[in-house]
This record gives sequence, structure tokens and C-alpha cells, in this order.
Amino acid sequence: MLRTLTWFVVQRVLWSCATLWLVFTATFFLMRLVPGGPFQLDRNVSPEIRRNLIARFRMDLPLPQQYWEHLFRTARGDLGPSFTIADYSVNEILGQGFVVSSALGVFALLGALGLGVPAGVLSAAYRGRSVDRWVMLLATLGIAVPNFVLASLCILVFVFVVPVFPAGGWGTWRQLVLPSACLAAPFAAYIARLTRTGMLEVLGQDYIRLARAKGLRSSAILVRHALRGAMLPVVSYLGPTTAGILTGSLVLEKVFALPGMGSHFVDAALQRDFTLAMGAVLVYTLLLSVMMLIVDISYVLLDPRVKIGE
Amino acid sequence: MTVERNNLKQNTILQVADLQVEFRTQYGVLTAVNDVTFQVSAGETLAIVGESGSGKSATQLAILGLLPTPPGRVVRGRAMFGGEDLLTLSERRLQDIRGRQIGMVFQDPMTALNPFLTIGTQLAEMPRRHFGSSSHDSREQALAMLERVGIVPAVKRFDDYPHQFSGGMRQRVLVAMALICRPQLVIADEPTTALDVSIQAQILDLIQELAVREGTAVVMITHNLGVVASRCQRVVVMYAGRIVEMASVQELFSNPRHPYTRALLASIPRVDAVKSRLVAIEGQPPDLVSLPPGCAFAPRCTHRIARCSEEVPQLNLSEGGTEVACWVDPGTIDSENVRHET
Repeated sequence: MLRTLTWFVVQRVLWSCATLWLVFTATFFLMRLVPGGPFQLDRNVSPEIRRNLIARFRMDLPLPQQYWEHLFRTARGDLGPSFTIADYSVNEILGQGFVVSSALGVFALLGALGLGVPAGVLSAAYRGRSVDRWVMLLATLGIAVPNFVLASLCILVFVFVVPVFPAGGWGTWRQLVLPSACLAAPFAAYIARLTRTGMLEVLGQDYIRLARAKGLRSSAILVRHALRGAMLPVVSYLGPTTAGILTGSLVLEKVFALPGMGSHFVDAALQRDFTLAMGAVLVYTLLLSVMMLIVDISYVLLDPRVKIGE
Repeated sequence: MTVERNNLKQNTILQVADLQVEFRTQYGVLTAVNDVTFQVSAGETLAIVGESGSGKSATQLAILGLLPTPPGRVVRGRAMFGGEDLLTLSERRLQDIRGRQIGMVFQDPMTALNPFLTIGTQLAEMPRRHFGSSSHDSREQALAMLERVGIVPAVKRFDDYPHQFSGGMRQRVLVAMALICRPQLVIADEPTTALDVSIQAQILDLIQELAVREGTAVVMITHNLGVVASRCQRVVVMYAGRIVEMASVQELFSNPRHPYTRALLASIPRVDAVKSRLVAIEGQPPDLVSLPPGCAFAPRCTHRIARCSEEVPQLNLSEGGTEVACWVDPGTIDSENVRHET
């Protein structure tokens, strides 16, 4: 078991490396295919400065050489200097942003799970009754309301009407509450719906009828007998979602003035910051691979019928 | 005779009376169980026989409070068990009775066990729940029970998951679950339909053997008359939600009264028969949503008289202690039509 697990992880890590290389290559050439470049500045600069800049970022080399140099540097873990943020390396920029985004993301995820799973279980247990209807109404709202609307509403209520939380910024846990709550809302809603669907599916199974015939208490049936099977769709959903959540949310970072990673994605692409955009894309890909691996391993842990590597 | 009857009454474990169960379907309300009355005594094995849709499973689910509601609903009736009416008890009280005093063996061992939990967990949770046993004690009880149903060595299989067991082994586990708390009554709903023929007898013997040892009453729901002949004392024959005949096994096989029972017995393929064609009962089982006004079997019955399609016959005590619901005097039925003489 442990040996097959180790082998499975090794295989997946190798595959992830291949994926990262493919993504790197695609990003590298796509960025250069887009019209415009990092040195098309608004202000006029003298040709010498321009030439110096291009040489500094080694953009004067032929394209294949640029590609190999960039690839090997990246493979060593160095994403290079940023084109637009002077004197900062991409590693530093993304490192700082990732701390903020992932702190926010972890809070939001825990909140979404802590709220969504019990809500879904409750909703399924009281299917068709008023509890179910209220939970599903809230879930629909959570999915439908855009996060900038929710964020504005939260700021209005919890900053101006009842001042309990600061409106934004980064540094204390109190500043994290509102943005995490807003980030968590749609995910909690999705998780509640997925849990409900999963629970209803499981609760219709023969083995739940047997559990009832055994005289087990309803709570034991819901938690011990039903929840595990019902969590499988939630786990599949959580993989890619976690990668997305940890790499930040552009809108919420803007609204709450957080120095997270989300804005780098957009800014880097718009300003043709080749190295920063590459870094952001690679970090996202890496996270996604890791999350998918965790999902697959969770499946094995949750469902004894699933065998590794099948 | 009277003394014997009184004794029987005193030992009655379960008494079902006037049970009526309805299902709301998209085609209308159907009465799945209609005026069903029967009782089971300690140590007795009662068979409920009937084809699919005859209401035998719905009867049993209603008794345990496991009917899916909606669409199912108990309209009226009583199910007296230990001085209480199971049909009026709260869900919490029923939870105390289920598994503890009434054990249940389900039909399909492939789907009845929880695939996410080990056999041991699923078995040991019963003494934990009903006797408040410690985890060590409940484990010991579960291991002992597994040994008794022939899963050996139990210690090795305790932490296995259902998918690591064969169908017959799973059914043994289900039997172990039904009996681990030493219930007074075991209801087995077609416990062998999903199994190979060679395994069927083993499972039935197992239920029988354990029930006899504990003095447990057994209700065996089946459509297999072979099961009935060898292992039960009394038989209830159901058709379209009603009991059409209730008799001792000897009486039922030697002198079947109701035309449906006769047809059922005649349809058993016989190894020694000259003709090799299977005998089927003519016509289709009735549509439960729109039952005919009289006897539900009348449209398929070869002995039908005018009254049959006008009035529903009630169960009446007939010779040999058999109760039969038929307007036609059983004595007039031409026994030459019945190929299955015993």
C-alpha cells in the first residue's frame, strides 16, 4: 500500500513537471505573439536607454536563446526580474502576494467548508421542509450575488453601520474577516448544494435503509453512514477550487485594498510583464497539480473501493 | 385444543391487524396493503408468499416504520409488539426497537452494506447502540457473531470492507447484524433471491438454526415456495395487497384452497414432470391503482363466478384450520386442474 502510494506520487510529480513545461512553453510564445511589448512606454525615452533596457532583460537575444535561458533559470527556481516593478524579482513579488492571498484563501476555504457542509447535510436531512428551502435560497443568493456587491454591502454594514471590522488593509486578523467572508460566500453556497445532492443520493441507498433498520440514531446515520459517500463530489470540486482560491481574487483584493496575488495576474498580462505573468501562471499550475494529487489521494482515503493507479 | 390456542395467544410476538398501506404515485393512489391481519408466535417461522407487488415487502416496511413517506402512508391498522402498537410509536422509540427487538435481513446483500465502512464497524455499532457496550465489548460480541455465521477467522475479516466479501458472505454478515442483539423477531425479506442456489440453502439454514436456538420468531418473506415447504410452519399467501390464504404448511401443500395458491403451486417446475414447458398463471397481475371491484384475482381465475367481480371476499376459517378468501366453495374446485398433488 505504502509502496504503491509512493510510486503513485512519484509518477504524478513527473507528470506535473511535464505539465509545467508545456504551460511554460505555451505561455512564453503566447505572450510574445500578442501585439505590444514591455518597452512600449507611454513616455518618450532616448534610444540608448531603450537599448540598455532591452539588453538588461536580455530581449536582444534570438528567441530560441531567450526561451532556453528563461526555461533553465525557471527550472532552478528563479523567475527572474520583473519588467514593470523596478528592482523586484518575480519571486519576491509573488512570494509577498501569495502570503496574503493564501491566508485569505485558507480562511475562506475553512469558512466555506464549515458552513457549506453542515448546511448541505441539514438541507438533505430536512428535504422539502422549510429548513431545506431557506438553505437553498441562501445558496442560490450566494452563487448569484457578485462578490463586489457582497463586499460593498459588507463594508456598508460592518464598517459604517456597526463598526466592528476595518474596511481594508493587511496586517491583523480583523482585516481578514470581511474579505474572507466575501470570498467564502459563493464557495460555501456551491459546497452546500453539492453536499445536499450527494447526501440525497446516498440517503436513497439500500445501506441507509439497513442502517435505519439497525435502529441507529438519525445523527449517526447522517454522519457515520451517509456523509462520507456524500463528500466525494465535494472533494472533486475542492481540488481546482482551492488552487483558484489560494491564488487570490482580483476584485476582492481591490475592494479591500489587499496586496495579494490576484491583481498581479491581470496587471502583468496587461503591461506585458513577461516574467511576472509567467510566474503567476506557473504558480497557479503548480498549485492545481498539487491539489489534484491531494484530491486523488483523498479519494483513496474516503472510498475503500478505489485503488491507487486505477 | 382451546388450551393450546390460549398458549399460542400468550406467546404471540407480533400481531398485525387491519393494516392498510397506500402509495401516492403519478398514476394515482394505490393500495399496496389492504386489510392485512396475521400474527407470529415465539419460535414460529411464518412465510409471507406472493409475487412482486403483492404487498409483502410494504407490509414489513410499514411494521418497522421504514416506509418511504411520502409516497407511502399507513392508512390504518395496528401492529402490536410487546404491548405497544408499532404504527403509533415515535421515531425515537422505534429506533430503540429496530435492531434490538426486531432484526431485519434485507434482500440484496450487494447493496445493503455500507461500502465505506468495515464489516466490523457496521456490526459492532449495534451492541454499542443498543446495549451501550464499550468499544472493546462490542468488538468481542461482533467477532463472536461473525464466527457463529461462519465467517472464520473472524479476526482476519473484521477490518475488511464489504467489497472484499462474496455475495454469500455478505448475506451472512447481514444475518449476523439481524441477530447480534438477540431480537424476539426477525424479518427476512427475500433473503436469498440475490444468491446462487447453492448458497441459498446455507443462508436459510443459518437463519433457521440461529432462530431456533434463541427461540426467535421469524417472518420469511419470499416468492420461493421451496423455501416455504422446508422451513416454515405457517404460510400467508398475498395477492394484490390482500391475504388470500393463510394455512399451515402441510395444509397448504396437501390441500391448497384458493385458486391463486393452486395456480402458484402448479407453476413450480417439477423435475419429475413429463412435460418440460413451464406452467404460467394466465393473464397479468392487476394494476394496483385501478383494482377491479371484486376479488383482485377474478380476471385470471378459472373458477370465477358472477359474485367474484362484484364483492371482495373476506378471509374465512375453512376446514383444516385454513383461512381462505374466496367465494367459490373450495370443495367444488376440480382437483384435476391442479397438477401439483402432494
